[in-house]
Amino acid sequence: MFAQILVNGLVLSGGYALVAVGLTLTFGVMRMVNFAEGQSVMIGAFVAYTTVPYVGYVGAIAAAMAVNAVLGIILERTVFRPFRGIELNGLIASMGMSIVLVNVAELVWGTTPRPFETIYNETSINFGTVGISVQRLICVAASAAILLGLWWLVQYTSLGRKFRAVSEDHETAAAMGIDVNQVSRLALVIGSMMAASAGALTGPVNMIAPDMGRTEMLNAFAAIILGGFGNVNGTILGALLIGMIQSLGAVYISNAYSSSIGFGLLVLTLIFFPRGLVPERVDENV
Amino acid sequence: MKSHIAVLAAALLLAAPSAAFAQAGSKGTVKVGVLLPLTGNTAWAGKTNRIAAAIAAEEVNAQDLAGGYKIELVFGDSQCEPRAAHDQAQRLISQEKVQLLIGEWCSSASVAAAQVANDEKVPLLVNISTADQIAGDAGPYAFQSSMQNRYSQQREAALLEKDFKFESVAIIVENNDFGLSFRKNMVALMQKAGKKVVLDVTQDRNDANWYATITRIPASKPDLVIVSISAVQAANFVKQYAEAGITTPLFSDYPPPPRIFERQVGAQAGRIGLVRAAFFVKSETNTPAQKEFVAKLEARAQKELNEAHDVTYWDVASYDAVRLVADAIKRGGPQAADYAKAMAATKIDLVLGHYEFDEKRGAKPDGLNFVFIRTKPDGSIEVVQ
Repeated sequence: MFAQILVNGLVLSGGYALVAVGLTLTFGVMRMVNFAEGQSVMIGAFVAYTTVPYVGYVGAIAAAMAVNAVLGIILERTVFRPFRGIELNGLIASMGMSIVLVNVAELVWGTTPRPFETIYNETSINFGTVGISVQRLICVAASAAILLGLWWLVQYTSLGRKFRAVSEDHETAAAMGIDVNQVSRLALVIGSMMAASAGALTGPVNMIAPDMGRTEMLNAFAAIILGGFGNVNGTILGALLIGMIQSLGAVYISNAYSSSIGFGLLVLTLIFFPRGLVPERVDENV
Repeated sequence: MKSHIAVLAAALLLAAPSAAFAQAGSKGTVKVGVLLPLTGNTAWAGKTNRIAAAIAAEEVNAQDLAGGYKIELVFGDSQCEPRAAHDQAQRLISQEKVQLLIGEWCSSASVAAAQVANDEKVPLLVNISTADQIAGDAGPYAFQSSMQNRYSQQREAALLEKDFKFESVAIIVENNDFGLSFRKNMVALMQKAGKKVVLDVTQDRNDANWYATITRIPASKPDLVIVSISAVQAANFVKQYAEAGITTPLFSDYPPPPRIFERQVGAQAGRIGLVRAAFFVKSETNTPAQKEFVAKLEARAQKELNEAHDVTYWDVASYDAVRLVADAIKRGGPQAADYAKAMAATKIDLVLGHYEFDEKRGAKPDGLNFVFIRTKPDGSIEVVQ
């Protein structure tokens, strides 16, 4: 049974990490919280669901990421850039956009939850007495690969250096010739694309519906806070902890309060580590 | 002269029906608040329930079924959540000035709305939620026209004993009034029948990750798994149950909406051989009133929502609720005390069946529809009983 719990925890962690890291990236660069990130997960899931019959599952993930890249550009231009420096307005605007996205999804796909079937859902591998679908294993592997890719991008590319520079001080970065608007837009685009991948990867595990994404968003915030706000490595660690604790807690403590167990631990951790498990160091942000 | 009389008589005859119809509204308009989940994860049901209620109101007004009163429905989006239901009930009463209330969908939300209704002395008809004693616990202004869990579970337990061979069960429910009420009744019924409850789990209603619960089933080795999980989550559960490859027979309480559920996870449910209860399923055995309602609602849903819709129990219950309210107004008027007295004395045949209330203002179960259905391997439905 432990293998199933472990894989289940990793599936949850992977989904949370993709969303959380996208949020962290946006926050690190723009110092604004994207409350529409959860709805970007939902849009990603629906785009993948719609395109999978035509382009296959891998193509559907790519299509979802492409559509969300455009969504990221729209969000940056309409919700974030006009409110840069006025955090509260940006926060409210992104909350408003999250509602708009839900309504758009309801109009396009309806309100009835839909099954998102891939060929990998039907194939299960037995670990002991319980099967685990290949889809779940793909979730774990793909999440890890995408997170690794992002880490490489931030650490070793020119764009990554720009992200870090803007994160540290956007005025100085601008004075040094970095196009802050472009870097911010790219941060939001990458954040949206990661949310799309989360939706496309975890969507087939459950039903997809316009109201999905909220739980992922909430847990992603928990992961960010647990890890230390604005720190990518800490965020991944936070997501891993939240997912595993929820999975273990559901089996060994109680399923009725699995979320409470996760968030209870968050509160406890913050009592002893008020700045999160990996405290923020500005030069390592993003 | 004779011809004049004949013409006059003919004119009177022709005018008579329209004169009768014109009476609707002659005594005034009664505002009825309807609490439904119009957003959130149960909105897919709330939207057609709203149409069903609107159809009923139109018929009441067109045919003067409320004794000279016109009914005006005011909808509140209560989201299947207690806090939203409480706030919306309060808003409908204080701002919209509704005189009567109908709703909600989820039991926990109905409990919250019933509390407001009773405090404000505005009669509420709980028409969908099935947790036990919602009306009885709330007070004299609450009525419950849906079949309460304890009656459903008695029927379900009888079917299980008859059709399944088992000595031990796993009972899995969601952690809300609806699920906990089911669990309490079913555990008692199973123990009374000498069955062993080897796994008894509740899960957060918003947690779609059932896999953790499912991994516990093989270890506890039940002969039968019994679940009571609301519609969307039931689909998630069945999907994950099939994925896990568990072969233990599965029985579900009524929530998964027939046909809609089959479109979602029919293949998986068919593979498991899922049997479940239902208050209503569109089939050849439907009564003429049910067939007529199905035709009306499907056409209207197609027109308004631009999608094919399979009529559910909740649609029927929404339609019947407005008709029940109209009938009580007709007999008692819209004033709270008289209306409540009239509602308590209800005896009427509507789409789901025959409605009467017991002394605790809950619907008597005998006249209401209840069937068992099995999902076949091809994802279609067969009525078992």
